[in-house]
Amino acid sequence: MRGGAVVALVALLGAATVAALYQVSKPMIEQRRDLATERRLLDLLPPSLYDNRPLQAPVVLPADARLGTSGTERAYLARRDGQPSAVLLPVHAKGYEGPIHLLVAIAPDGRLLASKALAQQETPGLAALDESGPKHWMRQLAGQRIEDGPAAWTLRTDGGEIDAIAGATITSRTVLQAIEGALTFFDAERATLLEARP
Amino acid sequence: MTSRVHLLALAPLLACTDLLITALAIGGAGLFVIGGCGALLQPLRRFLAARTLTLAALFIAGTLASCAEIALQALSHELYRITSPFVPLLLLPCLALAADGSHGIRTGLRAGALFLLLATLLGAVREMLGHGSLFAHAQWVLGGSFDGWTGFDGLPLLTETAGALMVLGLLLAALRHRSRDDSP
Repeated sequence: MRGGAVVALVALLGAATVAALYQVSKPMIEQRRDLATERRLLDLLPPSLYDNRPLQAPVVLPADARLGTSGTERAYLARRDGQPSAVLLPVHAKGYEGPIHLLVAIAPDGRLLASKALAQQETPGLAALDESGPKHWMRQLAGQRIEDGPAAWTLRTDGGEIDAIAGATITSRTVLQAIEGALTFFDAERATLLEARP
Repeated sequence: MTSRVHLLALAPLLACTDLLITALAIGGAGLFVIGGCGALLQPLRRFLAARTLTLAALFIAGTLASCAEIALQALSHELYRITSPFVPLLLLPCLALAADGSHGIRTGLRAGALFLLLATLLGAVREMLGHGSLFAHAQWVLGGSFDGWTGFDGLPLLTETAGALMVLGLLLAALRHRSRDDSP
């Protein structure tokens, strides 16, 4: 009997402690979550490239076939000294295993700055889109523009200049086309995107 | 029987130590949960029989693990996301601790401290050799622009769980070798 009472007391105290601690740290937790989201999206851009807080002023984009989006998505405009320095565009693509969501950073002159996968289900170990590092496959595309011609946006297997990820040709082709689509979209909508005022 | 305590802490130890910063996070959580549970169980041993003691240990360890998770969330969302599947697993060594006959606050604390030490060692070795960096992603916790040192490409094998087992095996072998040298 006494044992049961002690255990009940322990359980009650424990529950109260957890509830109280959670209430106290809730604002801190939310702030940390926001910071994490910001880091996840903005680590495409070197910190020297922007001095505004792009996530605070999203540009709402309607669904667009060039971006592969089927609903409204948010783009972000990075500025430095008041001048636009980069646009972050969301792109959706159909990968080998499922949808791939990419974020593509484009400079005002239409050069690709960087790109990364935000969500993907491709085969782990083969199409390692999630990884970061100097040897990442998506790094080789940085600096390319639409004006570089179709060869710069075609895989070597398809007669172009770009090496596919070994063993993940379909994923590579999809990602390449998605990024090309984002650049095409940017070139067409450059004025509206760069003029967007928060 | 403390080896059972350590054995049951193996999954979090192997899964969360590919970066030094996650290793420190899971190690700290381990010290808090295992050590705290050992210390809090001690005064209860007088009142409770073995079976109810295990139940009390379950509640205490659950409370401490939840507190550790909340603390991790308040520290960094990324750290929480990586370590959160493995923090509740720290309950297992706590249950083994309750079933353990040896008394004394020290048992739990020693097990927790050993867990932290092993996690730090594994984390440092695996990050340096596997990722070729040290304190990568420090900004998860510190904010700011410092993001650790990066040296070379590293051996990706060591960043996987299989690599963790290898590093752990080599560490244990080194320990065995040293202790054999001590005794003639």
